[in-house]
Amino acid sequence: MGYGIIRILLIEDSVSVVNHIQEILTKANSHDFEAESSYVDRISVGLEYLAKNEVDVILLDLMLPDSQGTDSLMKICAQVPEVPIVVLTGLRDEILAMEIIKKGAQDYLVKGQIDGDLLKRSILYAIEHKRVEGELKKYREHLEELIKERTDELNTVNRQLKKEVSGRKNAEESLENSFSELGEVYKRLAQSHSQLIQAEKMGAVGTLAAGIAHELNNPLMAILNFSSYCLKKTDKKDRRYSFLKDIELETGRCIEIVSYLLTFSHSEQDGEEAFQSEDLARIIQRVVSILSYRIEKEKVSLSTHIPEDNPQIWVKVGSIQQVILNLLTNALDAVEESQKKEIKIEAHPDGDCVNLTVANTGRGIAPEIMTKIYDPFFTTKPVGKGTGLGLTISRNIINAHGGDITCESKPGLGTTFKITLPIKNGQEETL
Amino acid sequence: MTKRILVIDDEPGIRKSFTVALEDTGYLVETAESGEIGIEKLKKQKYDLIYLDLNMPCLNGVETLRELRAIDRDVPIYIVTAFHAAFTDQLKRAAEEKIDFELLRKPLGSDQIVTITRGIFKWDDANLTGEYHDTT
Repeated sequence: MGYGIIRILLIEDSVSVVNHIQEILTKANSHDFEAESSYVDRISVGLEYLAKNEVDVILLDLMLPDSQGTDSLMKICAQVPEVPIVVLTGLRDEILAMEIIKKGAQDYLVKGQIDGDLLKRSILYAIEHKRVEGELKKYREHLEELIKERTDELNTVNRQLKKEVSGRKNAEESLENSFSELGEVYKRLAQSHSQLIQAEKMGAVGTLAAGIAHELNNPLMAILNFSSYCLKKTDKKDRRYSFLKDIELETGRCIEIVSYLLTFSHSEQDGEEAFQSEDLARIIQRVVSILSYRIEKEKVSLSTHIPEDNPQIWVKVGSIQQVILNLLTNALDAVEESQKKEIKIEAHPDGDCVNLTVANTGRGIAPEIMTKIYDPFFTTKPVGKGTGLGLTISRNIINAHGGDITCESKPGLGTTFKITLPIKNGQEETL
Repeated sequence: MTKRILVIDDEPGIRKSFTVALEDTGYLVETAESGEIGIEKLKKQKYDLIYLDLNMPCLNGVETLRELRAIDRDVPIYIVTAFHAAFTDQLKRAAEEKIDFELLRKPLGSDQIVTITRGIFKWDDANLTGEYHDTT
């Protein structure tokens, strides 16, 4: 490989050495090695020269009048770190040699042992060594740069990741918020769901009741007619006659119950019930007999006070029966867990009206729910027991009769429902 | 002339109820267990009164009513039903089309069956001997 003309600066105070080296260099010039040299005898002059001129290699004597030893080397290195240096020493000193190499020289030569080949090889080695060193340095710098770049990239990525993580945290937080909101919504949904279930249950009960009632009607009609037929064909003195009479009567009761069921289920849309004149005492007695089993079983003391001269009232008998059945059922539910289990039913004529009260000694109604008791589907009874429709329907029926229903309650002492019904109302002529 | 009554009901208990209730009245009671059979009977034989069930499989009471009326526009037809809410609309439409029928509520006891039947014929006889009466 060619280096062109190699510019050499010789810093040497010994003229004989200078001459010797210049002579060697001149001799060494060939097709593959061409050098020109300048020389200075002081380090200070050498530094000045280096400030003004470019050189390819420096041959440096360590014993100069103005600088000795490794100091000279360090001064030069400090000013021109890129220029390779070959140190010229008087002694062959391996320790010093190691030291000067460590301090930045590329090679060293012992004065007096220098010949053309050695000098040539040393100079070329120094240049090549420095070049490789420079390239290594460049490469290292490049590496460092690369590392820095990578580090920067990594930092950027890291920052993004951190951002993402914090973003995710935010998302998680808002997710948690949405989750708790969802929980609230779910709770509300569950509430309305249970209300719906209740409504549906009511509907299902109604449908079921209507279905059963309908299915029972045909066989009941058959039993009724067959027992009548047998009665007709049986002698009254025959012991079987009274049993047949009982079958006919009991069948009649079954038919009545079925017709109640149809009334309660509201499936009996056909034929509005007609108003008729009826004795309130009889209606109450019918309801009491329906519930008599429960009244006895639960050891409830029931008293009814209805004056003998109570006037006939103009009502839809089935509907009023349903109202009284609802109120009496509620009263029985209310006293279920009470010490004192008393229910009092009273009726008194009051001018154009009749007042009917159903009073119980049950647990009473809390004032805060008093306004809700007529609301559809409002119930305090356990799920499956109350429909929340009893009082709603009752009030509708009483209102349809031109009457009024009110409630008074003392928590822990009992509840009294009072119904006011007109004895006669304007619908009389519709029949 | 003996009055001829047709009872159309898919329930044997109901058909038999009418038969035994009217046994000693001197009326002739025939039965059909479906609308289709009832229609066939009316095609072959004139009846003075028809008791018709509403809720029957296959041809229901209202559909049967229309067919019966197409054959005989004068015979009194009494629909006997425990439950005609499901058929309210169909019945209303039939009534609007001036298809004549009456409604009776199930269950009917023997006394009611006899009383109603006698009442119908008395009215019918009066109608035959008396002046024209619009049944709608």
